[in-house]
Amino acid sequence: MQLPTFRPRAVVADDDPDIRDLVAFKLTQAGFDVTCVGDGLQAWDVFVDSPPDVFVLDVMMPCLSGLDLLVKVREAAQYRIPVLLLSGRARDADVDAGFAAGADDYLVKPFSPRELVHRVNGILARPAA
Amino acid sequence: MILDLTLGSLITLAWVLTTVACVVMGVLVVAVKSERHLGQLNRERRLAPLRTDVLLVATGEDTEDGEALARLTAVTGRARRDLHGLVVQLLGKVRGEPAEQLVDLLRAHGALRDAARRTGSLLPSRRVRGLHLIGCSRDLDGLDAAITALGDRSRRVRSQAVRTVGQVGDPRAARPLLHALRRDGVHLGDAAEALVGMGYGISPALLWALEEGHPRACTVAAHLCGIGGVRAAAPLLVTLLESHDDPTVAAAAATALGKVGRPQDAGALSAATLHFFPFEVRHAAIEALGELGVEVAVPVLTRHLGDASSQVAEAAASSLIALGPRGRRAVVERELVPAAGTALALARLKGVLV
Repeated sequence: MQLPTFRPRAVVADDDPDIRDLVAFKLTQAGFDVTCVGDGLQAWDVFVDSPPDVFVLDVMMPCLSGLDLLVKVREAAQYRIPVLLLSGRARDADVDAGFAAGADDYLVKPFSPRELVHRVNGILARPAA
Repeated sequence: MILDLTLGSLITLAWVLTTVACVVMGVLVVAVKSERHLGQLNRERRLAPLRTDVLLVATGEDTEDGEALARLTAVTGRARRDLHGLVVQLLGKVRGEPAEQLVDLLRAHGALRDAARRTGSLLPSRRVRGLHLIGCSRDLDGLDAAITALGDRSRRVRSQAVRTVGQVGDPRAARPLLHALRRDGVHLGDAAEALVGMGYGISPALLWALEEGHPRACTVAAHLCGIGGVRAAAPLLVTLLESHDDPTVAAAAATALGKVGRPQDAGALSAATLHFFPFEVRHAAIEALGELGVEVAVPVLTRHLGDASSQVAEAAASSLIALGPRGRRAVVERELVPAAGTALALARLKGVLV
């Protein structure tokens, strides 16, 4: 009898459908179960409904930005859900703001899909603080 | 009565004409929107069977034999044109090997050759699109076309050409780009960003621009010499600081000297702090003296603690604190001077001083 394999659940939130498709496709190929949403509020709804194993969030999103969502998630979650911010904002101050809000990693667009998977696996493997 | 009738008829006619015009406009708007919507639907329909292959290539998940890429290369007709649009969109979002493969696809379809040809079109929008494609794909073969476009008659095309040469990232474009700054229509920030994208090979072009002395090119070159650590620029920066008519250039030269200057340049910077220099030059020179880090500047900066301009005085105090024990002592001894007090409080908050 073959045991069921565990597929970590990832929520990808980005208002750019191309990025959503790219990230979802790559993470699915890498063995993730992926849910895609187009803004921060939808991502929050998914989180409230059933917290994922990892978040991949765009910073600039309509309704609720990635940073605001991240702060809300950190306040609400009983344990630390790994969060990777994926953003076109590459200045040091933007990266600092991302980590200050509680991100576990920060990747700048344009990004390497392979690197994205390595980073997501990396933050998932990190022991919870 | 006839007059009343005529006036009434004219008003009615005006109403009718206005109504007809509104209806026609409404119909036109609906028609154009429908046409666009239908066009979008048709594009999506044509792209749907290709999307998986595009994602396989764009995420680096294609097989070792490149089966998905081969299938995409074989696409013909209108779907090929739609595919180019999608690939260009994705090129701005991924990097690394997948991006290179997407560029290979465009090259195989002849799209890059067409893009270079399009930069010679009569229509500015076509020239911009051609340049955009060359930039997205970082196509070195299109560099000459992009350099030529830096001198285009259209401001929009010139701006796009600046971004394109920055994306291609070849330092051969640095000098033509700095030369293009002589004309308006190119944002200095865009030009600086494009030059940074070309890497360290731009130093000779920066030195050339400093020698040439055109204000816009000089400002950008001085800024980049500073952040890029081009120490060979120091003598030229001193000349600009001492003799350029434009205070923006002189201030940029002072700021750059703070980063790449030699100890002997403290004299030129100190002279630029005198009251008859424009405010921005004095302020930049005082900040640069702190960054340059030579103790001979302590007496000059100490004098400016009581400067009539509070911004200059506060900059002097901060620079003194940055200069080490002797400079800090000078500030502490004058703690009651407002600028010194503010700088000390800030330094203590930042943990520079305890």
